[in-house]
Amino acid sequence: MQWIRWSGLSVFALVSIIFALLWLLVAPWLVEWSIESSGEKLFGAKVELDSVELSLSPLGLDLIDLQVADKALPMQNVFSFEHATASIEFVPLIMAKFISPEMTISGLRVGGQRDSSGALDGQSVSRNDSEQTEEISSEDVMPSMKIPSVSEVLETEPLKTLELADKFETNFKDSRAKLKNIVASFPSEAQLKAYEKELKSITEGKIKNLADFQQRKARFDALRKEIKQAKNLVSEAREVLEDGTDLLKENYELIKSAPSEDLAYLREKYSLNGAGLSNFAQLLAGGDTGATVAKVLRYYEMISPMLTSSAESDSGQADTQSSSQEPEEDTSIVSEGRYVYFESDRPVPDFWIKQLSIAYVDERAEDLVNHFEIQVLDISGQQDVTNKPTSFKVESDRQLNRDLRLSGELDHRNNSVRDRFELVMQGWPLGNINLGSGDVSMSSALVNMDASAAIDGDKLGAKADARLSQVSFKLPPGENSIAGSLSGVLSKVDQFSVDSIAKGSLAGTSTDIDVSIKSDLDSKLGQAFKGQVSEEFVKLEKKLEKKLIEKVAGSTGEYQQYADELSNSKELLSQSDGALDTLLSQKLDAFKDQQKDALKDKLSEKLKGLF
Amino acid sequence: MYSQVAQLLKILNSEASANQISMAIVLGLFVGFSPLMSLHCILIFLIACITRVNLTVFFLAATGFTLLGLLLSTLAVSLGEGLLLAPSLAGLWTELYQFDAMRLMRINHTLVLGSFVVAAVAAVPVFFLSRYLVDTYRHSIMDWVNSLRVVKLLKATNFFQDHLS
Repeated sequence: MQWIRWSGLSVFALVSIIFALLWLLVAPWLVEWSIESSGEKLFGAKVELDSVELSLSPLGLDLIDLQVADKALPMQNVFSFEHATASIEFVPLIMAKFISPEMTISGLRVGGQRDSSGALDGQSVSRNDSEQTEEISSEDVMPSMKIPSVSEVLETEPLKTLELADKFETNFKDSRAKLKNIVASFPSEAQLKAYEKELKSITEGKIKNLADFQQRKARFDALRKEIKQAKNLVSEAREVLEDGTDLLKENYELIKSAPSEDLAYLREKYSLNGAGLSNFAQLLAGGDTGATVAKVLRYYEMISPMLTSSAESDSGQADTQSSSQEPEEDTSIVSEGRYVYFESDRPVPDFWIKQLSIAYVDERAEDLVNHFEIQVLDISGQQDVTNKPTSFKVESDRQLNRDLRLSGELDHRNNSVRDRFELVMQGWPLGNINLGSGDVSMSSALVNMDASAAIDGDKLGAKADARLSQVSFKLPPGENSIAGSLSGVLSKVDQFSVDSIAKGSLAGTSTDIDVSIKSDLDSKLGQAFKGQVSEEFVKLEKKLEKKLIEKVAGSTGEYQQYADELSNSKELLSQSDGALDTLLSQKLDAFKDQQKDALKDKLSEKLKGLF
Repeated sequence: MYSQVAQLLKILNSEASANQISMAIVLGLFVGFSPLMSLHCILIFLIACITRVNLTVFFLAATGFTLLGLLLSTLAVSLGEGLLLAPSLAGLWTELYQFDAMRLMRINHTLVLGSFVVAAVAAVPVFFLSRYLVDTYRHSIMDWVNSLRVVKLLKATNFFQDHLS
């Protein structure tokens, strides 16, 4: 029997062709679906791709009109592009792996408004960076330039003096009421004399017989009980008085120092000495600069995980044989398996764009159009497989003697993070930059900057030295003398430098980063304000001081008189206590002796009768 | 299900040799155990097309072994994992990984390799077992089966008459 069936070849060819045609028919839809669904998983917001076109010779993809919405700002995009062309390697594609030797993007836009919300269904919208930065800038960074009135300050500020004064008044009233009750209840001088008289009548004269003795004893016991009660009352009164006195004394000491502490606080808050406004570096940390830094950090936090885990295949986690770390067991791996990668000169990760070229035009400002060439190499979520870090460089077109170069490397191999960034700017024009306080902005400047940042693990270290020239500030109209002074000083500033250092951890929030910004403008502003402390502020400070002292005086004015009263009451209590002690001890002893003598006499008389 | 049983009866009762049927079952075993579309599946399909194995049995076997493969997937993954991560075999796999053909076969996938090894180990016993069962059926059971009332009813159906007779 002949084993070969040559007609079977045509069957095989027919089936193969049917499969290929089906694949070609379905592939664009599959690519579109996989880009949108995996993109939405990565960005946490809508990813919309208008269409995908597949070309066979050479094998490639055209992606048309992609929009990636911003999770935090659903009505804005993170980025969008009009057209992307990617060449694709055929063999890996059969293995369901996307490897593109070259990809170009045109019509890239960073940010930009959307027609409809980009929030995924059922997803809550988080607060955006600019809101947060705005809050920081207006509350913490820039001291207010509006001079408040004395009554405004007293009404709105949590001043210690006011709080302590109210507390003192309450305690004072309580203490006074208690003292009044005590004075009314403890034994008067007449009462003490009455006790003395009664005691005398009990103990004077001879005891006639047993009945007389018993009668006297009963009277003595009753009197002693009454004196003891009076003594207890005096002791209680003494304790209450001493407690009240201590509390008032303590409050009094606190309230005496409160006005100076409050004034120091108000001085700092409202920059009464002008020092707050001299810290120009703080201004730079707020406003647009702060918002940009927050946005960059957010994008980094968005991109960073994609380089280490985004390209896990559907069938399980990727792993390299060279990696010493044992893969984690998970149920999908146990039942569906996973790829194990081996060292190779031609690695095949699940996803890899070897070279991405982007022509980017930044035309945010009307009179400022910047052309950038962006090149990103080795974009993959499996750097351990490609054995290459993702690197990028951004270069401006160097028109009009200006230049911007940003380069970096994101190395997430071997389960560690080693990222590096370098930025060089030469004569780079800045657009209008809001400086953290609503109306203060730097309308134009040219910047020369050398900046670098490194992230090792979750530790960030960054340094930036900038020199700004041809600076022009835009300030609010001089509502008060401080704004006027600031305007006066800044209008004369043509150039200044800013040096900043940032260190911290990226594991938590951006507030874990310690940022130090210094500028030579600080001293210029400081000197200017030193000699120009506004009279208005001095007046306000004096008025506030007067008000606070008046408040203290109003609350504590009667304290000295009351302290004298307390002292007198204490003395009176002490005297009464002493008198009662004397009554209870001395007279009682004498009466006891007399009782003993009487009993002795009685006994001897009875004994005489017997003998 | 009805048509598959009818088809199987038709083949078993036909002139097709036991070797052709057994070889079709073995090829179906490889395709059925392979979890993903890979080069060796295509090659096996090509072999099934150009050799005179029974294609119906091949497809039936592939379907049956796919179901069995799902049950054995955990075992196959463990086997593949053990082989791919064995330090003594690291050199071999690294060498093989350099060839595109090997990558297309997805030998670096734990389930694919594990299933392939299970199929390869089972291939020879399955071949001889199938041949023995076909021979035994034809010599000892076929007449009895053909005499069964249910088989006669099956053979009398329009489907059997139109497509399989």
